[in-house]
Amino acid sequence: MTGIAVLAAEGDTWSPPSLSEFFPPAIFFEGTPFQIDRINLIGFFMTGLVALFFVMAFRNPQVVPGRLQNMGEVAVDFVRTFIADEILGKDGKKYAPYLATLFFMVLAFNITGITPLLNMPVNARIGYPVFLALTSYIVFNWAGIAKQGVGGYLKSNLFIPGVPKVMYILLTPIEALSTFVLRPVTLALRLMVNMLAGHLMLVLFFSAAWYFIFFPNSPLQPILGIGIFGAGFAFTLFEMLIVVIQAYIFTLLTAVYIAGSISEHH
Amino acid sequence: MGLVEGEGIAWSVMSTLVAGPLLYGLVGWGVDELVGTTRVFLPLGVVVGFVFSFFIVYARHGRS
Repeated sequence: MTGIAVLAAEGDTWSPPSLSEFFPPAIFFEGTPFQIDRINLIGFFMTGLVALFFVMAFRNPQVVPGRLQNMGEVAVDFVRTFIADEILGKDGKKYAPYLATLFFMVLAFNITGITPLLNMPVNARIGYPVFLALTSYIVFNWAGIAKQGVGGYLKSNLFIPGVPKVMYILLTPIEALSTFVLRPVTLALRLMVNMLAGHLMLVLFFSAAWYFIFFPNSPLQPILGIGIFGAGFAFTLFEMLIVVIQAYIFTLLTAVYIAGSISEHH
Repeated sequence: MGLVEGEGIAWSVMSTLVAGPLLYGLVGWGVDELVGTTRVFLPLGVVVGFVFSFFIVYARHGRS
């Protein structure tokens, strides 16, 4: 938290947070397309952490689970029960591994926004949600094509039954846009915008509180600063909720799209 | 399974209702650019897109 506060309160002037928050200086390979900055490092770290957790939990499974295995089981069961089984029914088992991985990766990349010392949601950088949305896109299209064949899948999605053939030329582009473009785009954008907005709000609250308390221009400002700090604390609690909800929504919608693809239309 | 199916339908209806005006609004804007008018065909395209979207929703889910 001190990091962001100092960043914003240079000297005696304060400026509200801008999008430059999300473009910290490169640390490795500067100038190349592979340049790595703080956000990428946090992303690598969280990926390794999630992988490590699940590998350690299920490396040596016992009938009577130890603590780590128990946590892992609760985690996977949550996704399997509330998302996979609920939306996909008997096909849920097949897609539960992907959905569980998706849920925990989105959660891990989101939660860095409120962890102390990190304070940057990895999903605020559009590349991460785009990649996750892309994998979901591949999965739900692949599932549909595997179930109905390429022709059958396209036909059930693009061509509406019971409509005079002439209308197809007008209506099919709408269906194509809605299924093959809007779904992945909204998945990625929804996640990224939520994380971006949340992070900007948090930086705003805490840097303003820091500035008012430590660089006041009038004796009333420290009191205001404490109030703003309280608001920032409350907003952090709200952000915790948003972090989990956005992970849940991303995974739920992926499951809904998969279910839509593998069910025969009408 | 009716409950789950309803959820899928809800999302697909919503995205259809967005896609129609979006696409035909874009087409309308393109026509505006070609013809040289300012914002005449754009709202027309949006309205036409809405009409088509409603028709799609009706055709897919309205009749039984």
